[in-house]
Amino acid sequence: MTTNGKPGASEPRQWKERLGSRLGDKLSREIDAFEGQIEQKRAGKLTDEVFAEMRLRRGVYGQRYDNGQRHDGVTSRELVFPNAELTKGPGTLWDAPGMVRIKNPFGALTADQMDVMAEVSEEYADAILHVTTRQDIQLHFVHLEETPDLMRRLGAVGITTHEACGNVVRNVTACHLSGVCPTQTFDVTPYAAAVSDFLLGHPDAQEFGRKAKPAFSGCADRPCGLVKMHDFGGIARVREVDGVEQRGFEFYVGGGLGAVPHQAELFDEFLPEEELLPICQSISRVFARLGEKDVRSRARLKFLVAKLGIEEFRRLVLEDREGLSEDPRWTAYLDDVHEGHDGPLWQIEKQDKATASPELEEWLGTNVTPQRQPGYKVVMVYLPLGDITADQIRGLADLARRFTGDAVRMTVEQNMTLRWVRESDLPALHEALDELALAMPRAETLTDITACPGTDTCKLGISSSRGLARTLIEHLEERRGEMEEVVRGLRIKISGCFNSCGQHHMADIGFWGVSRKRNGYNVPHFQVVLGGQWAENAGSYGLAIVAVPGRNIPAATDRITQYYVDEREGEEGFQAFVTRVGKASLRTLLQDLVEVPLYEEDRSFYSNWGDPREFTLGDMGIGECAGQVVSPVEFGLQASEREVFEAQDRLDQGDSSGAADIAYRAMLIAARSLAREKEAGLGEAPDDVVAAFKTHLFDPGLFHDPYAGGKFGNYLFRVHGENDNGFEATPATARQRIEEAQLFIEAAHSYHVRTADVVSV
Amino acid sequence: MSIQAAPEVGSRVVAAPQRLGVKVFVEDQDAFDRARMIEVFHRWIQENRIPGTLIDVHDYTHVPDGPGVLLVAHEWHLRTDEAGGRIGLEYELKREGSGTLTERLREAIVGVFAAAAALQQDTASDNPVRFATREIAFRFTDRLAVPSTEAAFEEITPELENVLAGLYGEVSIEFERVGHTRGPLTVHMKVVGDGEWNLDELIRSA
Repeated sequence: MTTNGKPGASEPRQWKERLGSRLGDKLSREIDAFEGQIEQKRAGKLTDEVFAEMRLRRGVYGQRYDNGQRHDGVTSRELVFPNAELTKGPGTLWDAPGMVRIKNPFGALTADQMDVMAEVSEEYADAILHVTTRQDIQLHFVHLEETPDLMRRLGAVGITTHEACGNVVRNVTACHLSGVCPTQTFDVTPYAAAVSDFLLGHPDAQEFGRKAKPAFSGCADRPCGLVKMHDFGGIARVREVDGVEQRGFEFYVGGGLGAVPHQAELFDEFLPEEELLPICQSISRVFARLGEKDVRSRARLKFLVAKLGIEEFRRLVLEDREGLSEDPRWTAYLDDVHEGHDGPLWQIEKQDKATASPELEEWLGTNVTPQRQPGYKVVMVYLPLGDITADQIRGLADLARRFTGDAVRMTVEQNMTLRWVRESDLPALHEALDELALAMPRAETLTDITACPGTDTCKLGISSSRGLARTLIEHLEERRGEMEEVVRGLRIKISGCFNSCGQHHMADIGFWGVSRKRNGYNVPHFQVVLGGQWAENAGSYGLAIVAVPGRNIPAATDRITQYYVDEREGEEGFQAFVTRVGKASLRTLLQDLVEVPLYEEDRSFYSNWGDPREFTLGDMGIGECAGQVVSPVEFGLQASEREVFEAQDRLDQGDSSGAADIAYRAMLIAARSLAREKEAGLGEAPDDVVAAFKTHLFDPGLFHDPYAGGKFGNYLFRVHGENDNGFEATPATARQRIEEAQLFIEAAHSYHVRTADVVSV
Repeated sequence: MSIQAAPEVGSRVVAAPQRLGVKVFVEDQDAFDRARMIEVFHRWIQENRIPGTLIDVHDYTHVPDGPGVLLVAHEWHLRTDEAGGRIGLEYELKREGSGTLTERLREAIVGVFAAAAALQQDTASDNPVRFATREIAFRFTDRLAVPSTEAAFEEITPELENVLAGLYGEVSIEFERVGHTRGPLTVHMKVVGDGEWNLDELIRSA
């Protein structure tokens, strides 16, 4: 099914009329209401703040430059749109193109849905569908006024954008192999679907201070579900009670990446399946009731769990659960959970082993995995940077119909899979994928790099994550021939800022974008994060080693991987290797790559990969020799970074208390280096430094981040307060303090970049 | 709001589309330098090289057979399109459109020719990009106005003939419906017989 028009003049020329009966009444009314809200906003009857939340809950986001300003590499220019005075949110222009996020529970897609996605992407967006790290699809460069029709067309094939954004329960993700995975305990698909349906628009899940992201995994060991980095979620478990097998979940709460990553805490070793929905409801209710509302940066569930402690949080949830009125939906879906979500299109008969070309052989080795059902395979379709064209997804829909039971799922590594492919069909499928330019091998290897949108389209992006990813893919592909097998299996993940949408914390090698003032200019950098664990549902997070100029990241990657090849012991994995050799030696390994040549010597360092514009050129000074002068602020910030690194080292050595103290000291050094510009005689006493920072920088709002507000400054005040109150560090709190110190220093760099006049000589 | 219904025109299947892409093909695609287009398009924004509210440049060169390098404007998108393995320049009207089908076709044709001429001129000194002028692809992404059907193809071909006659004069032109049957109606046109045209001449004729 498509939403294509049929011939004949009698066909209505409005999507609303044409699709009317194909949308349910409820969805139809909701979209009509949203269309009415657009009209109300246009008529000035809604405030920017209210309308922004309304459109976000409908999956309609802002996009970079939507404030009508863009630096073109020479000067900051105003984008003059037809509706120049009209806004769709605070500081967000009506006509500026935006992003639409489409929710796909557990990443599942049907062929019909893929057809319609192709249509809406080429009509309303740029004919590209971008698969995200949370199994959503994003369309970019969409005009607000076209979103109701876009929603209607998606709604006609059972897709919603409702609650894809906003302070609500976001897409429910799940392992893309659920149902066909050889190592799964059971298929979590129906449970993920039930949670998604139950919480969508649920009254108890509408009053959060921030979003909540759930996830499900079929087994503990593999990484596909990433439960431990989510707000809440379950890993499939079974137990025997009186000789009867009972299904349930090892259930976690309070995980999350973002600026300060938290590992989820174990809520229940075995949450019986019939308790899944009521417990999710009670978690939502407790989060809505007690979660932070005013300070956005502390409003995720992870902060509430950390603040209350898991024991108290659990007690509150169970207490709430006791008081819930019975809801038939809690268990209604359980009658069907043993039926597969999908199944084979073709029965297995005699399968002949085909002769494979070298290309086919490689693809079979990297992109094809066996299912638990004998004779069937899962085929991974590698999408570079998660992008697929409208033509390609339409063709892929054809292949889904031809080769599988219409069963496509997206992965958290931004790829797509076809399941229930007969082994004997693999050569023909490979050939057909090749005709669509979708038969690239080496999925889920070193060169299959995950990247968030970054500066391409995201308002928060600092450095170009996609530009770097594109460069690294080319660079590493060229070196593939000489690469050791252990290196080929590593994972690289890149975020454009600290918010971690690229999931850099969990990669073997992660990068996140930062900015540094060097030689009087702003230079795009990436923090190098090593030692994250992808397996065991994101079992542990890496820590930043050092910020390296973006231009030197390919060389840094070569050094790190070669060091691993040269120094690994036996079958040592990368994470164990990083732990053994220590972050200090890895930092030393990269030390010379931190240097930035003068602007006159190599201007490429002063631009992002794939973007010839000079990086934040508006902040540049006029003196060509200015780069040779380093301000006291820069010295101070560099000293604070060294302290943070020292703190990380202490933590690695098991000294939580020392690590926490040094992280605190690092924040003080950074704060003092800035405050001294305002108060030259400022001493080193912590109370004096914090007071001066508050008076001169924080209270006037100078230190506030354009998007995060006072979030980072508040880190300093809280840590300072903790130290006055006999703070006793644990490994978790020390780690959190290090992360916060890192972010405080990044904010100090940002402040310095925003405000510094270049020192001329 | 501009979620416009195309006007009903008697019993016609086709109406004036809001969205419409026109693609011209590069002559030597082996010599085509994708990375260079990123610099060129950024410079076009700095210099307001072609009419429109120019917003940003987007690099999709990592997508095989994809949009290549995309120059986003409020009114249109311009891409170094690589669909079907053939590199070209596609100018797609997206918003703020008005007028009849003929006027919309002419507007899109002028848009792509002007962009192609600018690109030829800006690359003239080194590895010049040149465009074939004897073939054009039309992609009607506005499905409400132009459904992807044989009836629509039959109806739109005379409109195209009419518009193209104004550009090429009395020549024979072949039209072929190409692309996926569920994709947007896509029509490939090719001038048959002798004759040479350059972009400037075609723009003047449009």
